[in-house]
Amino acid sequence: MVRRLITAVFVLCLVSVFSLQSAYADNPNWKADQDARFKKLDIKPGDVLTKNDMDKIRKCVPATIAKWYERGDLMDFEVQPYQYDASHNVAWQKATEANRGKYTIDETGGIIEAATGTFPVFVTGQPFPEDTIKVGDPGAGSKVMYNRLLCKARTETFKYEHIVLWIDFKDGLERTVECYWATYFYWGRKAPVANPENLQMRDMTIATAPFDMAGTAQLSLRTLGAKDDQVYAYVPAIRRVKRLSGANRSDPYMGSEAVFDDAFIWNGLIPSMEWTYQGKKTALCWMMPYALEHTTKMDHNSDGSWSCSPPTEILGFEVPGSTCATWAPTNTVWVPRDFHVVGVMPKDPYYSCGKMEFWVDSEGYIASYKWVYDKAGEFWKGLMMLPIHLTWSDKYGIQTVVTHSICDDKLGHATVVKGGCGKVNGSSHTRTIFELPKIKPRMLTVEKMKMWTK
Amino acid sequence: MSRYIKSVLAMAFAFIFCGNIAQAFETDFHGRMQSTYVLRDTNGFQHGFMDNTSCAQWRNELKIDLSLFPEYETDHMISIYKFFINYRGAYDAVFDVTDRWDDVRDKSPADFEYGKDDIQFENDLREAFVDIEGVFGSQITSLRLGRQIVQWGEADGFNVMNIINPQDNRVMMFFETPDDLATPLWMGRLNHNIGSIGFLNNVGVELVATPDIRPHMFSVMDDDMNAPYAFGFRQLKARPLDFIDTRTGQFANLGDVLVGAGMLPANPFAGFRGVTTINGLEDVAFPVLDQTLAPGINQTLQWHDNSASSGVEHLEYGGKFTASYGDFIGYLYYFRGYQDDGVMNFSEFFTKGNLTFDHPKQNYIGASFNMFLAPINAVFRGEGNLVDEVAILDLENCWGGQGDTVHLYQDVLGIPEGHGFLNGPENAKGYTMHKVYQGLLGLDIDRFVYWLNPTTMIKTSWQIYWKHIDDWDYDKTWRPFDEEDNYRATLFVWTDYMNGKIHPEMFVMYDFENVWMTMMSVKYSRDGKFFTKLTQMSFWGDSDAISPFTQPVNLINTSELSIRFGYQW
Repeated sequence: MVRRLITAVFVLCLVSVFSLQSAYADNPNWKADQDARFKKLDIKPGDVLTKNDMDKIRKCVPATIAKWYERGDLMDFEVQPYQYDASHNVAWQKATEANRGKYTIDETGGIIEAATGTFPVFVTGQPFPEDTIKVGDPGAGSKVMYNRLLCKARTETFKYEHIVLWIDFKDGLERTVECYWATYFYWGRKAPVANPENLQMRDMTIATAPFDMAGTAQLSLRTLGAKDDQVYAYVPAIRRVKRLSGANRSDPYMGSEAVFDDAFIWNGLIPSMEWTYQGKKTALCWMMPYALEHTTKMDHNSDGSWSCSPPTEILGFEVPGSTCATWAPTNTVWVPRDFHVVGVMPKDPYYSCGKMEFWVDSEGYIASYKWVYDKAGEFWKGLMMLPIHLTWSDKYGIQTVVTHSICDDKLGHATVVKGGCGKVNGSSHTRTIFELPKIKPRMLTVEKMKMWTK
Repeated sequence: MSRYIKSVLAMAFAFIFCGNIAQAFETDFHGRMQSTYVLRDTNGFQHGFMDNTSCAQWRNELKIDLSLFPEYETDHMISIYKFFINYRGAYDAVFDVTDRWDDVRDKSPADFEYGKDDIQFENDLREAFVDIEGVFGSQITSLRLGRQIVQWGEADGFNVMNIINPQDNRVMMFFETPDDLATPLWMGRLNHNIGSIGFLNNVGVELVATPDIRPHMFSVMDDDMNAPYAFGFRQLKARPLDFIDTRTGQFANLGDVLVGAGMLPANPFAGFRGVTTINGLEDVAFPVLDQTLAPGINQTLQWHDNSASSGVEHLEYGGKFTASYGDFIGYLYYFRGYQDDGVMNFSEFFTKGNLTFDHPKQNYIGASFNMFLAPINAVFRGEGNLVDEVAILDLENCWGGQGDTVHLYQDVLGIPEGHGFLNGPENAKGYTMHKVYQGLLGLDIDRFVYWLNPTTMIKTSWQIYWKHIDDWDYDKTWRPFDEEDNYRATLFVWTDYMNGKIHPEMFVMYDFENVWMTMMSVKYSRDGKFFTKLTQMSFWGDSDAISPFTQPVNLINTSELSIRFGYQW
């Protein structure tokens, strides 16, 4: 009897373990899908692509990446696979499926409810299931971007402590500014919250160092619909909040390569652009090695928030004698992923650039690449993000990044944002924090801006 | 020990050491060191660029900010949000590297009457406050207690509703940011955000109260007015004034009357005729008055400040109401406080040789707004106020306040009130009270101008300003420094070059009486830590204009260039 009991318990444990695994593994075909991507690119896990493999490299990576590699900016391409299912969890997939047919894209490129023709007050899950995104659909590009927006909004509140590095192609690191970014999303939550001002989100960026920047804060209130953001800046030197234009989205941020729309590759108004869906492409995406080996489990803090500080890339300027560019990572690997490729044209004739091209991961909906061209059609700069997969609360998915890199080929200058990754380049300890109770709507108001800083 | 006491002690121990209130502090610590060298063109750029220069300042400064944010494990209804300290220490080496500024009195004789030690050294905990937050349902109340700076309003370069913290011009003109020019005050500031009420959003109230009474601070006003930033008062003392010309003429006439009446053998005031300046009075008139009408009169005019003492009995207080509707945010203000810019009280001018800055109490009512105009992609803002009683220099009746001595001679001579020598009520001080209105409209426009800057927008801010003094008539002799209406326009332009390494700014203010102020600077920092900044400030135009830039001090004759080196972290 005892043996039967032990056997029963053993079997129960086995069933529990595999059941738990299957509960996380939303895409039971993830391994097969990954193998198919490897096959499509004619590469294998463990391959290292070098200058002898330029033809293959040009097929495996976006053209700009190949160009940079060819001119010596990047390290060789070490290709590795995901060792776990990196998709979003069941609850999110179900919420996405529940949205089937609920929403559509109007003539401005904005999302509206299919039934009422009005903008939705609350959305959760990706509003457009994957199979509804098709080439030839004029709204498909916007659909990709709204899916991306909602995947970002699942964090409900988001605090991203980071450091901005100005890097010259020749001279390396020039200067740094420490900041953090706090966002309260009204969308993407498990349930709607009170939203009397009809906002989609509130976000605030606050610089914390050095002295002349410390305390400078910018608050954006994004209204539902296609209206420009309400933007306010608190300038400690004058101890006042100044109203800014919400339409100046392409002005460089503090003299860097990044413009206001570039945060997390795209932080602008979706209806402010013409999005053209170009289809799916399979290509290599660069990652931190550990991000392929395991999800990053966030720590549950006593105030109810979730936080993590996984390590980030080491850049060329940080490695004496490095053979790659000052701004390029030295410790990353590459994994084949499927991307939605979306071409973009700004509607605003005064926007600083011409066409752009976004590469958005079709599973995680994190935007990994953005290529920017000037008004004459010449390549200007590339934006790249290093995503990591996170597990927190009862959720998981590719949710954030440890680095944004923006490389301006015309000026020979780059801006790299490293965040949520501990102490970097002499900064304070940086973290990524979700569901931080302190970030509430009443904290992200014009009057409160003065209290966040001095 | 009884069981009861043991139980209480155990519970206390449990609450203190085992309760869920354990917390840590998140800390922010920043600072900067900088050295600023100011070269002054003592006749102004308009009269020749840097043809007559002196070193006005070599100020070496350390500024530190420390913020402490308590971190709590759980939300509390009332909690401390942060502690903040700002320290500024400075040493002006100009007093040691040149003897140009040697003749400045060493010590301060009274509150707000400064000495060299007040301008050569600074060692000031400028701000020290605590932010306390209370959460009541969906509403939040914040209380900031301590020494702090509060800036109201929407205007750049003007203080329309920005009237809480007075300005400190002891060691600087306008080069610095408002943050550095403002005098922090001990005060309480309460913000209550209500949220949405009906069609209004972001409804909130701010209340401020301060018992810390301080005036607009000027440099050392000693006998010689030789301090670097007392140049305006030195200029005022040397400036011919019709009022002095008239009064000295009346003294001379009085002397003639007394001689004619056989009361004096000779006219002791004969030499007063033609004296038109304060310096002239000190040289000629005060020694004579000391021997005659006003024994004991100061031989050199003494400048005093008559601020109310700090304390709850002299509390300054006010409030601000905020609400928004769509893109429009509006504010209403009320403040009751003392006039920061002192008005000169002449009631002891000819009897004791004193000139005192008075600060009468007044009520401010104002409003401001801002909104984004999408069709022109610009922010439109405005501000206006009414101050019920502003003291403005009006010398017409100030003779009456010269005290009993002059009255005595009036009686002896049988000169009726209102005739000849003496006129005006006895308590006339040389100023009168008026309602003053101010208004300002501004437009902030950012544009790409690729030929000027191919990578970054050019930011511009345009303003038009108007001030009206009610029931006022300009008069060259008695009310020489103010017109009934004053109009000014400003333009502020700035941008960034070379990925933010180079930051130029230009500020221009035009007074419609044909006077200009220009302030231009370029800041360079390669690494964000070491920086250098070159700034110029100058005034141009008509020296005889009735403008704040020319009356009572003619700033056209003073231009400055400064160079600054610094390090920040």
